[in-house]
Parts: sequence; structure tokens; C-alpha cells
Amino acid sequence: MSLDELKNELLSIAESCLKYAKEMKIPSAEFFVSKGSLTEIQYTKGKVKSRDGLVSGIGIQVADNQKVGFASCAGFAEDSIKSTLEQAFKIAKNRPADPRFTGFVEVNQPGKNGELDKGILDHTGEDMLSQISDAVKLTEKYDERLIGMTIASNNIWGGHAIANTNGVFEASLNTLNYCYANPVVLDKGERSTAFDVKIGRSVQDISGVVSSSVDMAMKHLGSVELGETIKVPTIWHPLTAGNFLGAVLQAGLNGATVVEKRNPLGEKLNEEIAVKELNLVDDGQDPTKISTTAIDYEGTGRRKTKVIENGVLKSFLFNDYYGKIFGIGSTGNANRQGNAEFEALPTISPTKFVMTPGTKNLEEQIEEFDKAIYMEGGLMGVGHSNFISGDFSIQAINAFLVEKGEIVKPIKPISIAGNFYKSLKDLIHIGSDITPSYLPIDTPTLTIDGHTTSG
Amino acid sequence: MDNEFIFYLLHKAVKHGEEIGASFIEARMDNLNLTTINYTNEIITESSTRERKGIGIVVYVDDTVGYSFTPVLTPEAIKETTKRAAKIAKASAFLSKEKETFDERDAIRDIAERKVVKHPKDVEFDEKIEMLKRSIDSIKEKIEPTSTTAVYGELWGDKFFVNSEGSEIYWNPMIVDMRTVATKKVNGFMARGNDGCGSSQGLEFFEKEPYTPETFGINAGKYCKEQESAVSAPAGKGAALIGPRLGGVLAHESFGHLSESDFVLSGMSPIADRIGATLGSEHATIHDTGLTPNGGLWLPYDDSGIPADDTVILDKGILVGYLHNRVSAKKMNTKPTGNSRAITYMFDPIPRMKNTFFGAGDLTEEEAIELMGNGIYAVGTSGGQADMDGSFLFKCSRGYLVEKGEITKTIKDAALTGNILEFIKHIQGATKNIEMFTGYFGGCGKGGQYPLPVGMGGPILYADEVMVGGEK
Repeated sequence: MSLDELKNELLSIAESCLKYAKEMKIPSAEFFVSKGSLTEIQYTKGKVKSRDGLVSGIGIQVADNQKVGFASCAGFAEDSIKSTLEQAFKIAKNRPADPRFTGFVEVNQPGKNGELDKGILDHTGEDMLSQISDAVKLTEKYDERLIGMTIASNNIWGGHAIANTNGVFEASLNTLNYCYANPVVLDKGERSTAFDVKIGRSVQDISGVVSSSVDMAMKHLGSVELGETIKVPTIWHPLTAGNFLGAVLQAGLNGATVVEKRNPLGEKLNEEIAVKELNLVDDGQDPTKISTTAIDYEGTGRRKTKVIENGVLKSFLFNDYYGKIFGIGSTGNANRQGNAEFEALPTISPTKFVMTPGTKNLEEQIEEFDKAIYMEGGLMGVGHSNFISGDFSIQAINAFLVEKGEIVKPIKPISIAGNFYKSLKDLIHIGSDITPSYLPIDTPTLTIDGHTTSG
Repeated sequence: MDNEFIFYLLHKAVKHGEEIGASFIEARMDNLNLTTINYTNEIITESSTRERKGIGIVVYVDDTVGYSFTPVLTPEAIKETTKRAAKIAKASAFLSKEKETFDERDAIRDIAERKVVKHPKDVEFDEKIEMLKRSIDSIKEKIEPTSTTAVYGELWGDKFFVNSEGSEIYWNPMIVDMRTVATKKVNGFMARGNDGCGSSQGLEFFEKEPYTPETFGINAGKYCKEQESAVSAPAGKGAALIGPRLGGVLAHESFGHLSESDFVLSGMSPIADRIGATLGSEHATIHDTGLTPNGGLWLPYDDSGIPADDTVILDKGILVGYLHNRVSAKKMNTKPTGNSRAITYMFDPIPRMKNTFFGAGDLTEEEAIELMGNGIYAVGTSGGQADMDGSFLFKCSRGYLVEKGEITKTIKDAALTGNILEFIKHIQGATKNIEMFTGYFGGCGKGGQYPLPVGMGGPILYADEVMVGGEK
């Protein structure tokens, strides 16, 4: 199947759905039609695990005046679609009205689709296995301290169509390839792990993530206890900073929680919430970013939204429902999460936050401090933080002590506590080395003051 | 679509797989129904159902495994899916040095039915909405909230399994779940309280205390109010009581994952090759079982058709077992433990947990508090995370300061961190009572298969050295 054929199939199914709704005299409906191919191969110490299949299904919302029901089914069988449509209608009729609901997305201008690499469609399971085999050979150059390694490759292509009874009728496609490596090294009873990933719209280089992740794990051997609780500047590698800030900005800039009065930034529009050097956009139209699509997951055109300008909060992100309640409409940020997107209702998330870079790179930031903590690699506990109060207490796995402007030694996992929202005002440096990532945000190296570090 | 036709399709997959050269085939079908209702700020923001129906096929070719799946339930699609699984298995064989072999087993033919009093499919939508409204009304007995949310979820349906040995198994998963959340803005600070849980029962579960919608609401309000005067947890190492909810997350996320046989065989787990070693104190026992008398998840079989028996992993501090599928059990010369699980038909089964919990001790809650004297009592959790070297972070979202054997103050959110292999050495006791939970909301996320329902819980644990990542 070609990408054009896929697009035609998605739109054809969407058209059938609209026809069924008309036949069944359903007043208002929205159809999310999704189909994708995925091949996933994972290699761990001589063991290969593979998964290869087609994911397809439809999510249907029906509105009976202001009463909205949702139902979904896997596959495109006519009987299933019709019974799912009936089910959504039945749910709508049997629930109280939502006085805030004013209808599904109206016809609007779609954005531009992200770049599509047809090579992804030709990248077979055999090709992926060959790539992994080469990466496995690369691991043989390391000494016996490398005791385990997972190497994985994923190849995905697919798309979604949105059709509703207001006349929205669009489809958007995507190609995606990602790979990751997760080594374990052991030396004199001390164990160290690391993780690295590459993701893009074209086939990625697996060998690169193998080398970088093993180097990261090895570098952390010989770690010592921090042995104290201190408040010193914390320096965050771009991917670690993205892991830290991505989650909180995703929560704090979510328009749904503003409307529902659960967002601590909810009353701070046009107020200073960060240092003036902080500029942030949600870029839904950069064709190279992995989430860029012509339309979002309920049919609004993707766009670029300025969210923080010179430290001042300029906008929240919205889907259609919450955008209309807030009075500004959708910002094209409706997404459907999960392993089967068609099973999910549209919620709000960034397409890609991108921070404007500053002037100093990682080395230049480290050089500046007499005592600091530098962190790279994964963090634990970010997702379980309290985004309402902003209080966090997380653990950094690959941390290092910085003294007199130099990294002096690796330290065992440390806990870092503070407040996310305060951290935005405590940014000492926004670095120059902005790094594209798989996370909701692309950031450079950051240095932040005021965190309590213990270990 | 009747059960006879489904078994016909699954047997068709096995037959076709054998015809194209596969040495072993497992075929399973999920026919699950999921319902979610979200009642936020007294408006229904979600009322939805999902039909999750499809077939997954595991094929072994040249002692290498391949997996494929389809939502299309026709003989032609099943044949094509079997072929696809066999193709990727065959292509992987050159790279697969660790061959996937296992011992033959007798065929199992079983119908395992979970009988409930009030099946959610027989209860009207508006009755479920009414439960949420009652819960929210109860919050207001304690506070005037800024924002409220109550959610209800149910998962039920059918699971079918056949394999090359002639096994033919049917069972019917069942989970109902309800959660209530209150938030209140006080002096610029957002306080939050929540309560609720799920069980493998019908809606009768919410008719008994302390699991009624009213109690969930009252507690959410009460815990939110407590946060208004919360103090920061003391940072650094100290004694802690770990309640069943947090202890369950700890047992699952940290020790449980380390004992999963795929991590053990790959050498990634720090407890690989350590059977028989004393790892913890005499008070540290950890179970993983499919069927528990204390509630939690009802799981009669795993997704490879193996009975989900009680597996003792750690017995009074001594490592006695791992969590196996058939292949890992053969490699380690033991029996499979019913831990081969997949979240949906779209995923292959991998070693995962059932109901995981620390074993009971002989203390009462009061005795545990008194025994500790000074420390924190970590009760509620918003989750946790663990790394393969044993390090962990578990978030205590509701906790108290204990001073001179008495609970004195509420603490703010705090993280408990450390290494599980150190932590289990410091367990000094546990309470007699065990409380188990499961859920529709949340679950295990291993291998990208989130959220797989699991069961967690346990007694209240007393540990004398726990690192708390609060602020001084």
C-alpha cells in the first residue's frame, strides 16, 4: 500500500461513516478513522522479540443537542461501525446535557503536513534485523563490563482522517522510525545503566544510540554517595532538562485545567511566570518534527502558538471544546493518546514546545560554578509529581558533582526537590545547544537555582 | 459472534501455522468492553465505551518467536496474520542466539467464570453517573472545593485461548473502579485530596465500606483539607511506615520487575543468579499471585494459557523464585508461573506481574506506629518508578509525620528514594492485615503496554532507613 492509497482509504471509510450517520438520522457526529502499520523488533542478549501488524479502528462521537457520547471499535467492518455509531448515540441520549458543549469542529484551514519519507514503507523487518545485527556487532568492541544491552527498532507509518457533520473532511499522514539502546554495565559489583533514543520521520542510525548509551553508562561507574543535603545550582543536559520541564509545561499550559480551575497558572495570563530570557512556542508546523500533521486529532489545522514571550505567559493550549469555553477557540492541539488512538477522546497536548536558545553551551555553563550538580540521562518520578502545587521530588540516575568549574566525579542517584513553577523563575542559564528530542519539548542545557539535592 | 465460532477461528490459526512450518502456535482473542465516565466540576466531560476485539497470534519457527495481530475476524484475515507472524519469526532466526524452547504440557480445557452480583452491563448509565454525583456531594461535607472530579471505569468481557497442545480456555475479566479528587486553592496554593480504587467485582463492591462513593468523597475532602496545613517532609534518611497502597507500588515497581524472568535472563536484573541468597530481613516476603482472598485483580490464567498460581518470590528475606513464562521456566529448570501477559490483542505476552504484595507480619497499625516512634507514615501514592539497578522513587502523595509514637502533622508531597535491595534489608515489621487493590485507571506500563491491570497492596510495612526527598 502507498501513502496515497492509505489516504484514500481513510477518507473513503470516513465518507461511509457520514453516510451511515445520515441513514440512521443521527443529528451530529464526528468520526476519527485511524490506520497504521507497525513493526517492532527488540534484541536483548541473544534473544529477539518481534511484533508486526496493522492497527485500525474508528472513534465516534455523537451529539444529541448538548449530550455527547463516545464509542470506538477496532477495524473497519461495516457492522461494527454501525453498531458503534448506535452505541455512541445511545450513550448520548442517556446522559445529562453538557451546557458548555456547542458543537464539533467547524470547517477550517488545515495546516501543512510534516515531511513524509516513503523509505519507511520500504524498510522491512529484514532491514531492521540487519541494522540491529550491525549494532550488536558494535557492542563486541566493549570490554566485559558491558553485561547486558537491549537494542530496539520501531518502524511505523499510518494516518488519520476526521470527518464530521459540520463538513470537516480531512486526512493527515505520518512516517516514523525510532530506535533505542539500554545498556547495563557492571564493575567491581557496581551497576550502572543508561538509555538513549533517536527518533525521526526517516530511518534512524541505531549504532549511534548504542555508542552514546554505553558511553553514558560507563562514565557513571565509580560513583560515590553525595553524602549531604545541599542547595546548589543544578545543570541539566538538554534531554534531561526536556524530561524535567516537558511534563510540567505540558500540564501547566494545558487549557483544560485552566477552565476546570485546577491549573496554578490559570490566572497568570500576561503575567511574568519565568525569567525574561525564556521564550517558548508550540510549533505544530515544523515539517521535521515528529508530531507535525496537517490537522490535529479532531480536525483543526495545526499551527504555531507563542506560549511564553520574554518570561510572560501569552497563551494556553486548547482543543476545540475547551478553546470555545475559554473564548479563543482551538489552538490545534487536540491529540489522542495511547496504543490505539481511535480508542481515545481528544485531549490537549503540545505538538512540540521549542525553547529559544541562549548563549552558553554545556561546558561554558559548567565552567561558571564553584559547586553544582550536573545531570544527564533519565530522571525518575517526574510523571508522578504534583503538577497542581508544582512541588516535585525526583531522582536523577546519572548525576555528577561539579567543583571549581569541572565535573569531578559521578555520584550515586540523588533526589532533587523543589517547585516546578518556581524553577521557571530560578533559571540561571538557557543554553545555546538546543537539541531535537522525542520529548514534548526541545530545550538546550539549563541551569537552575534553588533545588534541594540529597543523596 | 458466538464462542464456538471464535474457537473455530483460533484453531484455524493453529492449523495454518503448523501447515506453514511453525513448531508451536498460541492464538488468543480478546473481546473486551470498557466504559469511562468523567464527572468534572459537576459536568459529564466523558461518557464513553470502547469495544476492544481482536486476535493475537504467537508463532514459533526455528525456535524463534514472532507475533502478529488483527482486528479483522474472518478466516482469511486469521490466515494472513498467522503468515505474518511466521514470516517475522523466520526472518529473526539468524540473529536469535537464545533459542525459544519449552517443555510440553498437558492440554487445559477450562471455562473460568467470574461470578458477580451486580454486573456492570446490567446497570444503567445513569445509575453509574449517580454514584459519581453522590461522591462529589460528599466532598462538600468537608470542604468547599475549587475543583472536583469523579471518574468511573469498568472493564469486562471474554478472553479465549488455544494452542498447539490442544488447550482451549475461556475466562471473563472483570474490573470496576471509581476515583474521586478534590482540589482547593488556599492562599495561592493548590491543595489536593483523592480517594478511590477498583476491584474484580461487580458494582456491589461500591456498596460496602470503606469503598462507597460517599466515603471516597468524604476522604477526598478530608485529605485535601489536611494539605492546607501540611509541612515539608524532613529530607534525608529516617524511619518510615509504608501503607498498603505505597507498599504495593514498591513491591511491584521495584522488586517485582527485577524478578521478571526476561530481565533475569538478560542479566539486567541485579537479582539474576541469586536464588537462595538472603537479600532481605526476615520480615521481607513478597508474593505474586493471580487469585487473592484479599481483593485485587482476579486472574485465573495468563495470556499463554498457564494457571496464574501464587508465586513466592522472596521468602523471609531469601530469594526463592522469579516470574516466568514457559520459555524462561525451561531455561531455569522450573515451572511457568502464569506471568506471561499482554495488555491487548495488539501485543505479545511478556513476563509481567499479577497481584504483587509484601507478606503480612504480626503487628497492628497502632503497634507499628508506636514501634517506629519518630518518622513518616507514607499512606497515599501517586505512583513510582524504578530502574534496573534497583534504584527507585515512589511518590508519597498523602503522608503524616509521626513523633514519639503519635501521628502529629500532615506532610506535603514527598519522594521516597533508594535501592530496593537495601530497602528490604531494613524492613523491621509488617501488620497482620492485608489490603489489595486493582484498577481500571492506571496499571503497569512495561514494554509500552500501558495500562495493564495488575493488583497491588499488602500490609503496612515498617522500615528503619528510608531516604525521603523532601525539603528542609
